[in-house]
Amino acid sequence: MEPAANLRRLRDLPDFEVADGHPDVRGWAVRGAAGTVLGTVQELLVDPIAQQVRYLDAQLDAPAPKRVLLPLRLASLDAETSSVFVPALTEAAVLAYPAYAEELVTPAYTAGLRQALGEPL
Amino acid sequence: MAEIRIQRKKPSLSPWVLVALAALALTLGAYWYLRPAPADEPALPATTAVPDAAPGVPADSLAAAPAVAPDSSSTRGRLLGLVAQLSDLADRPDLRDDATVREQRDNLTSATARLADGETRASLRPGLVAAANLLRAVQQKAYPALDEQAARLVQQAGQLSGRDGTAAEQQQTHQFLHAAAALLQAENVPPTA
Repeated sequence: MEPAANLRRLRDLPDFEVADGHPDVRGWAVRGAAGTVLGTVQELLVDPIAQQVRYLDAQLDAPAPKRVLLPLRLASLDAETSSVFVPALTEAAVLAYPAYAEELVTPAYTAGLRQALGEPL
Repeated sequence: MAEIRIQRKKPSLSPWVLVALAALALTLGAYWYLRPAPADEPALPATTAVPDAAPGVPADSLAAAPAVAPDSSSTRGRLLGLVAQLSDLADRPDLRDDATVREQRDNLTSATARLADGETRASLRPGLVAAANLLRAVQQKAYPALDEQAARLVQQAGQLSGRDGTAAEQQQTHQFLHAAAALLQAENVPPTA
């Protein structure tokens, strides 16, 4: 399968860094619809051509341990509490969410995560 | 909707550039500490023609023209002549062991080193001030009666611009050199016990 976009882990791009004035959210808490902490951001998946972060690679601990990709465009950042809020991320969504195993982000994977978050395909 | 941008990392200073800068700094430092001191350099021909300022020499031999040097018509030449005579005075047996006199003598040597090297753009002021300070130190060591004259000379030196581009500046410097020569003449007379 073809990758959905030219996505790379930021740590694999030694010539790139988070731009000045933008937060590096690695290590920040991921909070769902209820505001509770569901996990932690582990890595950033970036589009080096557009020079944008597209997905947050997060390790969720609740309601069940799962590695997932969260679209940044659906998140809100709170630097004061070092938290990433994903309002669409309910417990049900986490359970339905396709697990991410650091493979290429394929169209099938993005379709699965959109479906879990209730986004149109 | 959140947005996080990324950017290319800014180029950092190459370690080799830092090494080169450190080597350059070390070279400059070594040059600074190891360069020959002005005192080690060959004496100027002018100093050989300076009259002996040892005690006992008739005072009128040192009258108003302190510099007997090839360039004695210029302020620079007259100052260098004065420096030579002041050095002889500071080396007099009864003065050379005094710490203040020795310090002021060293200051004078340093202040006039660039002039002695022939640097035409070097300021005259440090040398003129140092000369006044050395005469003042000698006065304080052995000539209490000359206190007022020496203090006035130091004050006069402080008012000099160090240049002699205009007629006024030349006049001011000339007056200072004249006063310095007079004080030197007085200090060349052995102090009364």
